[in-house]
Amino acid sequence: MVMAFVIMILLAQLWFFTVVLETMETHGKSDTVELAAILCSLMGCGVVWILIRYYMRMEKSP
Amino acid sequence: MNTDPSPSSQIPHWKQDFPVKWGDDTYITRREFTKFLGLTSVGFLLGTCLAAVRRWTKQSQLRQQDEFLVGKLEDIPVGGYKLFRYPTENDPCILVRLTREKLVAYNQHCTHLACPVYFRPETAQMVCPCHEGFFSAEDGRVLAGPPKRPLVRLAVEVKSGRVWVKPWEDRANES
Repeated sequence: MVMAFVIMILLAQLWFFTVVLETMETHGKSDTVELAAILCSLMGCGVVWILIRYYMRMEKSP
Repeated sequence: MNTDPSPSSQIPHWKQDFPVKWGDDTYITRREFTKFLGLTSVGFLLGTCLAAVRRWTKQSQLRQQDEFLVGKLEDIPVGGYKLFRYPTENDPCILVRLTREKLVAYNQHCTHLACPVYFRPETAQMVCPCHEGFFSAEDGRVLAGPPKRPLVRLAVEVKSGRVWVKPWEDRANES
């Protein structure tokens, strides 16, 4: 369950990456989209590491 | 003939020297796997930040860029074109004279896979020869083929018989 959640977040991060790449390619003028994508990706990264720590702790406990 | 019954004597020397089993060599622990996922997440975050920084720097470069003199108007016949590089040496561009008064300029990179587009005067189209992408020479919009986005356009201005180009965003009010 935890792993499925982590993989879902990774896919979302990949999507945010493509969104920023798209604005870069199209010479888009909106900084808001990029900032939102970076913030969401940052949050996703944080959640992934928290989940991993939680998962490893669960593994250790009997 | 080997008569020693101990198990170590039956193991070949090379196996005793390298006791790692094939299965152990390729075994990935859960810790390693989760670490890989975590690092992948960091990689995506860094990639997103790098792409954003790259766009911001390019945009600021464009803002700082002055007008660029392409050449004299009289040197470009109606239906003719002139190639130049703007704003950097890595940005090939094309200036096309559609009519006596109308001039348009585009970045020559096709928006599909960056092949250089050329002007076809008989149909008034910009054509990408790599994958048969067609753009309108009037405004750079996609007419046919795999490209999804219009050509990157530059603003053209004629002053005292000389043709100047600058970034399109400076002329936001123009259609």
